[in-house]
Amino acid sequence: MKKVLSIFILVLTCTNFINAQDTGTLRGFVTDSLTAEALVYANAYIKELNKGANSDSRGYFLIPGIPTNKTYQLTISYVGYKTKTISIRVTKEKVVQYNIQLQAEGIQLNTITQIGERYKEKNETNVSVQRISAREIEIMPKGVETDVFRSIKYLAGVQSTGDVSAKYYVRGGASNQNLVLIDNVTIYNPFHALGLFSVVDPDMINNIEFFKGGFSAEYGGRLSSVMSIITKDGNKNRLSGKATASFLTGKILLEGPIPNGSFILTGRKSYSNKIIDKFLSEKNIPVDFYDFSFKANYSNNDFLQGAKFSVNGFYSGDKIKHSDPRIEDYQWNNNVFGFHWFQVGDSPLFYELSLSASRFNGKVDPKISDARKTENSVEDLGILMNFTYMFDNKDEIGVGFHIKQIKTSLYIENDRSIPTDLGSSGANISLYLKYKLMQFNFLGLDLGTRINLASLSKNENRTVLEPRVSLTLRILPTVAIKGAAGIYQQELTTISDENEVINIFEPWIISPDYLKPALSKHYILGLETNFFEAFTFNVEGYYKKVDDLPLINDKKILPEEHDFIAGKGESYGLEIFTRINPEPINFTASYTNAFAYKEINGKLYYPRYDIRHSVNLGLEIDFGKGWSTSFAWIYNSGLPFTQIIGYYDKYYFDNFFAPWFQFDPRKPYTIIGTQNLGRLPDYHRLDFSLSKKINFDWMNVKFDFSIINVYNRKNIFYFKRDTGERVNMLPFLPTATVRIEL
Amino acid sequence: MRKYLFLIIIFISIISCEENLNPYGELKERYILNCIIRGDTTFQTLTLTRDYQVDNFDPYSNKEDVNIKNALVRIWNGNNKVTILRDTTIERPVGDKYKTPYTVFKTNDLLPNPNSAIEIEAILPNGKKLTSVASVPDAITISEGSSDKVIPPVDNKKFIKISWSTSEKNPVFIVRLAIYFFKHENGVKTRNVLTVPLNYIQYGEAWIPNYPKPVTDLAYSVDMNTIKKAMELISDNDTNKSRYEILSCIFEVLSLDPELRKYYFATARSRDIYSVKLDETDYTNIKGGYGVFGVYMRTYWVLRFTHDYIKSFGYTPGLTDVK
Repeated sequence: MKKVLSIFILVLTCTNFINAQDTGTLRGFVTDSLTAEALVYANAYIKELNKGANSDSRGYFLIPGIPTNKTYQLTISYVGYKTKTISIRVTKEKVVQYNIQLQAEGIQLNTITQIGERYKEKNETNVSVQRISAREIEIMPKGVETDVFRSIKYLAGVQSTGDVSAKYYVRGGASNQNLVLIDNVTIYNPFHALGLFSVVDPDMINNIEFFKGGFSAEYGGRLSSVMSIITKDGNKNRLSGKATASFLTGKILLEGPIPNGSFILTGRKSYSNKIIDKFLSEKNIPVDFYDFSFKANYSNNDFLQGAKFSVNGFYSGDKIKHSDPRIEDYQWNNNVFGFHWFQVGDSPLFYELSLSASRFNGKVDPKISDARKTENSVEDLGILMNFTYMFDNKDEIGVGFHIKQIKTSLYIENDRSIPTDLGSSGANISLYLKYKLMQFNFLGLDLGTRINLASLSKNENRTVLEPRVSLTLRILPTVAIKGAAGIYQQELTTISDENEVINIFEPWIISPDYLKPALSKHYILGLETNFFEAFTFNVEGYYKKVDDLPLINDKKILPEEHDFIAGKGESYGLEIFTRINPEPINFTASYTNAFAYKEINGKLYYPRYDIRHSVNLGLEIDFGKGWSTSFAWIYNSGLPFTQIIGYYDKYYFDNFFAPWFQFDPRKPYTIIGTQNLGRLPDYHRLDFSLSKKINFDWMNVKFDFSIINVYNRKNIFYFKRDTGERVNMLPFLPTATVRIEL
Repeated sequence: MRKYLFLIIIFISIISCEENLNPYGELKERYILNCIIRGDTTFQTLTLTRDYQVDNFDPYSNKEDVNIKNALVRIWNGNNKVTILRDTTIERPVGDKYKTPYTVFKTNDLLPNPNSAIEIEAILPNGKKLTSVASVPDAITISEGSSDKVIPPVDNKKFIKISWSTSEKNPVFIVRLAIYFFKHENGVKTRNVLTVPLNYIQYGEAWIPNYPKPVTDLAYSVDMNTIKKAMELISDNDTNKSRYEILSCIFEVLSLDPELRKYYFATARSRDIYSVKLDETDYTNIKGGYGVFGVYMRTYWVLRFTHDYIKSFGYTPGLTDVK
């Protein structure tokens, strides 16, 4: 095995060396001509060489191995922008930089001019990855207002347990197995209002990369998925603003230039609970929430050639306050701060350094109610360094170093009013190495590993190596086989359980020392086809196994008993996705057949989010002249639920001191059957959105009108076990938003 | 066009309908034994019931008597002494959801021995057997030297305090301080009890009592301001204060055995008002069924009011004065 590996490395090195002769490298940034905002996944293509690249999440692209001393035509294209062609010339063994600004054709999709030579990486190792740009977020079905967490539920393999929660479950994994990053900084509880909405204001997003599994070695710390959100830099050319009002929130955005850079500020505040009450079956919950973000960036070649610095902050807070001392109060907030330095050098090397701090605080103040006092905090300080070097033959080496110092504390007051501290602290030091083989057009291979040099968990059986591999094999020009496999470790967990269909917040803690950190193994195999320009058809199958899954010990009675016990998880499924997008129509359809199991104490059961069949249909049409519409239809086969076997009259200690004959201390109590063996009726819902944008000289106004659950399907959410009352999900709900851009 | 519109409306009407769901699995007959042995009396009671289903998902709608009669119930508590509990029927308390008399098994001959094992066995008429074991906690002794006897306290303290001792390991106590008084109305004297909370919290015009939660300490204290507020609330807005005849204040403390403690914690847990948890786990220490078998020891301590203190509220003293 060692011999094979040595030969492989030698071949790669030699190839790199041979390819390095008489060539130069072209790199650049693709940005919007009006705002200078990075355009992600833009195409850069040199027709004469049939070579090209796609810009990354920073708008950065790099094309190595360009023969020198000749002029070429570089074509840059991007959906919704005028294609631009410029002449370029590279120098031997030098990196030449061209920054390209593209001019928007207008928001209307039907005004897009035909993109010239579109370049698409034939061997990109992107199985189970969904890339969503700001433009795509804008045309997604909105609901009450655009919410990326709700929108990703339209993707195959992403499940939800109902309309009420924005929480999502990816390929049979629990919601706490999803990593959410904003500019590379972890957000621990990214939800407002009991999980109804995400804290991420879509107006601040430039792009999202969503990995449903098989993610490469630069990501770690979660078992199931990664959502990496890159925020906008802000308008570098002029000061501008937006104000948006929906039935739920009011928000503003301000962006503009600063010397050698730009800034962006966004703020959102809830002002009405009417919509929230609809989500929660007319329960009147006085939720009050806000979020605020800023980002500023600075890039000055006189100060440091090829460097870009940025600072960003994100703050969100929720409060539920009652004046009545018999009803408890709640508050929770996220504070995130990051500093980033992105540096391109004179060689095809770029590196980035990020320093970050993320803090979550949640609190339940019982006042004089019977609720338990709870206080949770997570402090996460991180240093991240990534180095990427691209060879002339397009192969890449990536090396990264991640240090995370995490401190969690969870104070729970038990029924005897005794506080229990479940907190601990530790450092996770991880190194990752990866080699991306891209030199063969028919083959792409991303081979790497995370090496955990130090772990948060003090359990001796933690995993040191987390190897990952991702592969693309193009068997025909229009057909590629894709696959991925990897090992993923998670050392943090939440102390909530899946039976809580609504909860205030999920307290995070480092996995207790008596449990091994949870470990998952992903195996993914897929087929991607692009027979026609406007037609995509993908099939992916996956298998995921999780060991040492920390599950709530529901047998716990006494405070000294463990809160968690180790369980197992297993999931597998098949996802079929197709997209037909002849302009101005974009039609998507997906079908998922999935199976998920959990095992606790030798007992196997379906988790609550185990949906056997899912169908998602989406249709977006741009009529031109500012009019656009979208429809989304979701069908899910029934969610698992636990059947009632009967009732018995249970003894309650309401009053120890009353004489025995004065009252009967027994009340009905539900006897439940085998966990989640029953199935609720099927779920389906149609949503509709209609948008109109009016452009004036000095401002743009956009109206969005949406209807959730157009045909008022009465989808069951749950039924109350004590009264038998059926609680349905969202009814027919029309909403509207208006946005003014200056 | 009309035809298509009509078809669309029919289609939407069908798919938007609420689908019926039967949340019930198969009912298996289960039996429930509830028996809480009190350590301060020889009179003990027990109930035996069975489970049930209802048609409308509302368990409170069940009116069928689920009590079981004619069972053989025996309790052993030290020295191999067997106590047999015999069934009788009694009238339901006012407002009970069941309207028929219910069956209680009782004895007047069982005083549990502290620090001993206690065992129960119920053989039902169909031959099913329910058993359980508990341990009688140690007795509680009020520490006279460190407990107040008079309200207000003789040394003008701002609080009253009661201390006690027990050899029980990891004890949990339920406490109550209550004022006993008579109210004279239309020539009729009614006995009343007002529980003194840990404190009062003002909410608008109302004073909300904050009652004590289970304690692990061997002492309990209440601020004199709380006792004053409780005394005021006895008559509340009634201007005829003199018709309230104040007797005394009684402090009661209960010590739960480990099984009862577990059961109590399992049932006393309350969730926040917004969270929705679908499946809850149940706790029982009854072999062969559901329910609870446990023991608690109880003791009490009387605190007397001075006449001056009672009169300061305009009330009438009901007992002799304390000096």
